[in-house]
Amino acid sequence: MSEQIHSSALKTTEQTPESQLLRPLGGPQPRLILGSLVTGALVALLFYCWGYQIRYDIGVTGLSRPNFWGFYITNFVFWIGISHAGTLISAILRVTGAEWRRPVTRCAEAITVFALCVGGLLPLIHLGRPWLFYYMVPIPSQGLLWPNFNSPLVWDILAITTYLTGSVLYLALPLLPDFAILRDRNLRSNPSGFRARLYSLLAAGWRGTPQQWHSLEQGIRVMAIIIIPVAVSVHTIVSWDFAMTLQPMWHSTIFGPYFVVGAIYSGIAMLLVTMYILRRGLGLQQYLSDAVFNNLSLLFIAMALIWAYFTFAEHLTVFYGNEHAEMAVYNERISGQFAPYFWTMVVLNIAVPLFVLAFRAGRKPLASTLVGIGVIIGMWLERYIIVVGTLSVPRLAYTSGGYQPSWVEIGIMIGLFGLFGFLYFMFLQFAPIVSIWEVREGEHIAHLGKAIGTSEPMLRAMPEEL
Amino acid sequence: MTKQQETRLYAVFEELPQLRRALKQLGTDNAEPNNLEIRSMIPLSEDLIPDATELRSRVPLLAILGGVLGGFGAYFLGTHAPTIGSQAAVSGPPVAVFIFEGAALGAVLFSVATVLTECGMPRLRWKPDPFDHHIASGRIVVSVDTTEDAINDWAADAMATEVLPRD
Amino acid sequence: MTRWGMVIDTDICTGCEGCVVACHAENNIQTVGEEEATKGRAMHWLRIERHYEGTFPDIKVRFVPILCQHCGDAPCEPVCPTYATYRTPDGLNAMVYNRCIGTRYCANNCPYTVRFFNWHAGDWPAPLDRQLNPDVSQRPAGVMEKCTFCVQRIHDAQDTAKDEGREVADGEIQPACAQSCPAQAITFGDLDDPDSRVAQLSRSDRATRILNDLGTDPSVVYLQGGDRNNQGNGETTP
Repeated sequence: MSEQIHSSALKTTEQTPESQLLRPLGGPQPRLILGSLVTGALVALLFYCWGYQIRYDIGVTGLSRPNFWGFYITNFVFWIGISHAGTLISAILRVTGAEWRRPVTRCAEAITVFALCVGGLLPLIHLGRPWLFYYMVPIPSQGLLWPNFNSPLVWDILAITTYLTGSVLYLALPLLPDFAILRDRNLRSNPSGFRARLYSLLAAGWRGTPQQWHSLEQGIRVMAIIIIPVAVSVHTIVSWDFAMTLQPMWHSTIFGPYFVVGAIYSGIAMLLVTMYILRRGLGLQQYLSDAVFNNLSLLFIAMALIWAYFTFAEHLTVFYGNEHAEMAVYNERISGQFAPYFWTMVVLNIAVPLFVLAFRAGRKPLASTLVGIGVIIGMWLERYIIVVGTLSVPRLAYTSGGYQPSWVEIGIMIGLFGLFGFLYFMFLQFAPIVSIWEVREGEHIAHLGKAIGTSEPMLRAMPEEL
Repeated sequence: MTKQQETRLYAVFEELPQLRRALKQLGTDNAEPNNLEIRSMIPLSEDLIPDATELRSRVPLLAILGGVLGGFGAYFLGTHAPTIGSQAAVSGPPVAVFIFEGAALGAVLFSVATVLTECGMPRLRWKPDPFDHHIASGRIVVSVDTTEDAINDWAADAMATEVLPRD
Repeated sequence: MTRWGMVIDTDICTGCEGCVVACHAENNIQTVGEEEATKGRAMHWLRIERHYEGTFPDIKVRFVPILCQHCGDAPCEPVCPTYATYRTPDGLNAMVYNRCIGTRYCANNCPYTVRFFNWHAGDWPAPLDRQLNPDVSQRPAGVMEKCTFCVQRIHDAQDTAKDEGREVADGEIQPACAQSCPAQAITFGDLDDPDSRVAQLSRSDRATRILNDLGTDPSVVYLQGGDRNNQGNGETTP
């Protein structure tokens, strides 16, 4: 007995890896604060451009007839697509029992929540009269009118509200035990400090009793099962903004599944990039390991293949049908004014990923992250080609027109990336980006699987001094 | 009995075998330990927990209930729309879309509310107990109401113990 | 039941664009200026499309005035999230400016591209504001607009007829475009009244409707092909 206590005493003085996770939460971190300030400046740019647009009318954008939608809708679909990263990792992998997901769930779910926050702003930004947005919300109004539930835009509102609510709660539930850990550590080291009070509030009375654990695990499991169809439905409904119209190369039945696959694809790309930045910036090689990048890259290849298949099927069908209006759009895409974007997209989304990730060396962190950056750009281009490519080639060709984004649209786009980064930097300073208890639980399960003898090491003690 | 159990004993366990022995001993000494609480940083396997069969959660059931209520709610919300012009108030297929979304939202809200209720949360005022930081370090804390002069053999293997007046 | 409709004879249309100007004047349509027009933001509720047929020296030009077709099954209606556009019982595709929040979805679903958005509010510095028609509201920025079949004139005629205790006579309502056409290529009336001039013309063997294969059921009928003996060498260029 004394031997066991002695050995555990040895463990407490070791520098255990969890200290890496707790360090950003111990006090002000210069790099995180710098990141918050830089991205905060971009957020200021976002609101300046948006304010300018509200003051001087939406005509300050580059939109015109027939390109009534442009950068804003492209970015809207892009960000909602990015948000599917979290659902794949934290929900689908949890339901299928893939243990390697444990270090990644929280940073992926955080991407989901913040991408939805950013993407959800865009339907407001693109409105001609955004102060009247509540006409789309089913609340009793003085005009005694109800929103038009036939319209895919109203479905959008319902779907994104549901998904955002679900994702926030799905991020928050597994955070409770981690907030409790932070509460207990801060109450010991600095009981009257701000962090002790903050985490006491955030942990909301979590005690870690078996009943609480049972409830929580049931809750997380149920939420994971619910959030998967919600995620599929959200991006399907966003795609139906296009597919429910009569426009050539929009009115396509494949759009629902196509956009969902594209969303998961771009979501994994953003997850790879985020993981790499976290790995390098916070020293999390132990958690966001080469094996995790390898597994994610294998999923990435699968998504690339499915996306390539859908793209080919879509274009082959249009080409074969040879319908006049659709061929006008198709020709602009393949060999006309959108050809540079289209072929860049094909290279970045199909050629590069399949060629690089097929090799083990290509699935290493840096290589797969670079491929991920290429896919993010490629998927953004895909949305742009779909939105503007169809609108600028209308059925009555007399009204064709070009589109050029103005500085307001570009400023808002950059600002939105900044908003995403800002929310993430803020999150990093208040919550552990790798789920401490889930990783421990995973180790425990792995040890139990290996343990033959009597000794059941459960939890290594974490360092006392942090 | 209650008059004599005026204190609460807290014991910290480092390793699982010690915990297992202690809980078994506690069960033998005292068939119904009062207000036994086991606190840990990760969920414990069920064989360790006394009365594990009493662990129950209504989350799945209430999630389904929430889904049904949400679906009905969404249906009435959507079909409340008037007929305008030549459009049907709501045509068939869109009804499926927003019933689905309403059901999902209802299920999500009900399951989270159930989890919080079953866990007795949110509790906004937190009173720290002894050895809280040991839980955060990965050890297991067992606490039980006891008499001051009772012999606490079961806690002999514990890394540390503390006795506090019960409040 | 009344169904307002229009017949446009493209064999007679000379492309003078008098209808376009009349429409601007009647409906307080803003003149966006040169810079905005080059961005593609000109607001011509009624536009004349010019289609060249044949090659030099046998070129023939066809002028096709395109305006809101007031479709019986309008694709712009189900996609508006706020019911800002809907079909009236008497066959007009109405636009409710107050309800429009500017999502521009309706314009994206119009196959004829006949919807126009107020990217900026119209500006009529004095004394130009004296030319505004008091019967037609001025649209603020961020609102969609399009041809209304001069609904203010329809209502005016209906009110007069009601005051005088009679029905509206055929030909009594003349939208600004029909009124101003020097070739009388545009006729307006009740398509559901079999004796009206519009209904008779729509039964002509030269009658056709644009993009009707999409199922939009437009209320505007085009007459063309009467001069098929003089149609160039058969090649068409837009």
